[in-house]
Amino acid sequence: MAKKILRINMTNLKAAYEDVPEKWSRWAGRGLTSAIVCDEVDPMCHPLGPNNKLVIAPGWVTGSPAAPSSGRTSFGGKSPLTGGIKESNAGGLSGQMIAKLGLAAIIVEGTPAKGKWYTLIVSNDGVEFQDAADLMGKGMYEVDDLLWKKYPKTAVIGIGQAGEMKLSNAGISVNDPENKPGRYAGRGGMGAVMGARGVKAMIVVDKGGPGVEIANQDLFKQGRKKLTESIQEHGLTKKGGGLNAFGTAVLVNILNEAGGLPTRNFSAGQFEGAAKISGEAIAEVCEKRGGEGMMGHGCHPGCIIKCSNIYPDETGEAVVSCIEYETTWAMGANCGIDKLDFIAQMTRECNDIGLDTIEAGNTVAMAMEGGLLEFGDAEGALKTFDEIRKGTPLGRILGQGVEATAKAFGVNRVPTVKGQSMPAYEPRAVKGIGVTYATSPMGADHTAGYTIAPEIAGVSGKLDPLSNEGKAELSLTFQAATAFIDSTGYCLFIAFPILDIAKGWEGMAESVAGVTGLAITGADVVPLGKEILKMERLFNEKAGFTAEDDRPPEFMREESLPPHNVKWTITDEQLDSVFAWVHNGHKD
Amino acid sequence: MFVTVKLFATLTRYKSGVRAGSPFEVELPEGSSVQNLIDHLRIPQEETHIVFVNNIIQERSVKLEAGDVVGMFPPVGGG
Repeated sequence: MAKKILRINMTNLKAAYEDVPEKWSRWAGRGLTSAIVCDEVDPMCHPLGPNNKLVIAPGWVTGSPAAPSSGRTSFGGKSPLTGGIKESNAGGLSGQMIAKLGLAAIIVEGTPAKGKWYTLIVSNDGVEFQDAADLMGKGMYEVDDLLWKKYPKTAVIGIGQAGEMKLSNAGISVNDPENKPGRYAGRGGMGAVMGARGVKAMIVVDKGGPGVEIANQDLFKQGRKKLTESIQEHGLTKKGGGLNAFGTAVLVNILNEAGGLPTRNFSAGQFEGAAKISGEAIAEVCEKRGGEGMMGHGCHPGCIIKCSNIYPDETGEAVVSCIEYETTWAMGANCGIDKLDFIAQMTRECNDIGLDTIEAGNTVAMAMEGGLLEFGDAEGALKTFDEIRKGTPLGRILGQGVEATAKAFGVNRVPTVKGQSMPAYEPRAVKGIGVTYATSPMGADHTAGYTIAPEIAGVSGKLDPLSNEGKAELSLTFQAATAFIDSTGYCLFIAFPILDIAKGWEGMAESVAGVTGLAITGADVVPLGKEILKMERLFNEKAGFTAEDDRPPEFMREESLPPHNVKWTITDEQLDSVFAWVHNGHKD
Repeated sequence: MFVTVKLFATLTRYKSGVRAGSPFEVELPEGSSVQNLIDHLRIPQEETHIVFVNNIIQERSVKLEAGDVVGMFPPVGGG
């Protein structure tokens, strides 16, 4: 049975299934959300207005039997944070269940009557529109609990108070296998886009769905085997390897050692308390406190990497899942805070209120720079989340993210590109990732082109992080490969093994070809990724973006970053070369 | 000569009682390389993936000097 598009109209509260038109038929995940947004969303529309849409799509292989680590769901639309196109993807339960319903994508459009909010029950029988009055004002922990009482073992996609207030830092929560709101399509304010459609939550019930069709079983199995083996063989992704044993926060110490761990609002590249907030420290706490605490937690069924964790309190009771690298950095080093228990509490606040932890931590750091509180004030930092939850005037400023907060407090050290704040890698000390931040259509986003792999981690070769040489080309290659992986439904962390182990790269492409029947090989990965990037860049141009929007912030050219005492020295011409091909007619 | 060493992630198992990132001193003959240090610590070849000397990633053949700070990592990544 061919996959369908489910179109949900919130103006007249009707839903309809549509055939997937030819022009979208070869896309899934990010490729599909971006194609639909480009075709159906006016680039000049207000992100919170009636003409924006929320597009949700599982990847090509998501929901297929035992494809390893493939539970991603892409959420697309026009971003209220950047004003450009956005695709933000998450793990959790939603992707596999949407795929098993035979859906290529869900498009949520239109606006209900003022003051009306809905919970959507999406099942094989269609869509039920329920009044969400009982959930309004509630955080995501309670929302997930309440909805599983009525609909156990379902996927819950929802927004916290931040999304209800349509704040630019509102994310979309997806529940994990324990029904906790830890998996976020965090970046770019997509929770506000969902809120603008009047949707508080969406339940996905996969029971009775047709499942995912496999076009070529032999090819799929062959690709799956190669990919699985490469994940199990690679030192980083194997059982007991760096990611499994210490989580993504295993990166804290290496970035600190490299002088590239942004500290106290990007004023230094090393944090004296780094070891205390590292993955190793999180693992120590889990081992010592025991109880519900654990490393090696999986964010969705079928993950074989299992990089998530459940952080326990002193009694062993779960506080939050999960403390990621970006999170422990944003709330930790970047705020001058070295207390994991407070970082865990702040992460829980973000997951409950519905905030992106990167933007939220950067915002607290900005408020510290602006004098609202001191760097290192963990108790004060935790209290700022109450302001956002309650929607006080201060909370509404903080909930808008870094740029709004910088303006409110008169700060000029503003680490953003296209309105989105930078993640946990200092561009002055790791030049390639700075090219990605500057030129990605998504705004400053490490996942958009993770040059950290060769620049720091020694994956797919070793390159000098402090050197400018070849970084424009490197970033483009990574951005293109990422756009493809973001469309597969595989977790981006498969990139580490497949970049080092050739059969893994082939296996990824073969498994996609096996599921879809499309003639895709490893050689098609970068060209297809570039097609996606081109769509996204053209949307942004129509939304008013120019070359001037592909620039890192001014202070990075002016201020030297210790310990290497380096500035941003990649030229504007080098940055402009990254996407010159979009208009020069070259197809490769 | 003495150099300062920091081991991270799974490498801490090769020095009893040391926590990730806690510095300790190692005495080596003058002119020793990163590889000599790895051998001295009895860390299997394939487990040291990235080595920093004074915050710069270096090859194993690089000669160490007294007072150098060496950080060693197994494969790490994420984000």
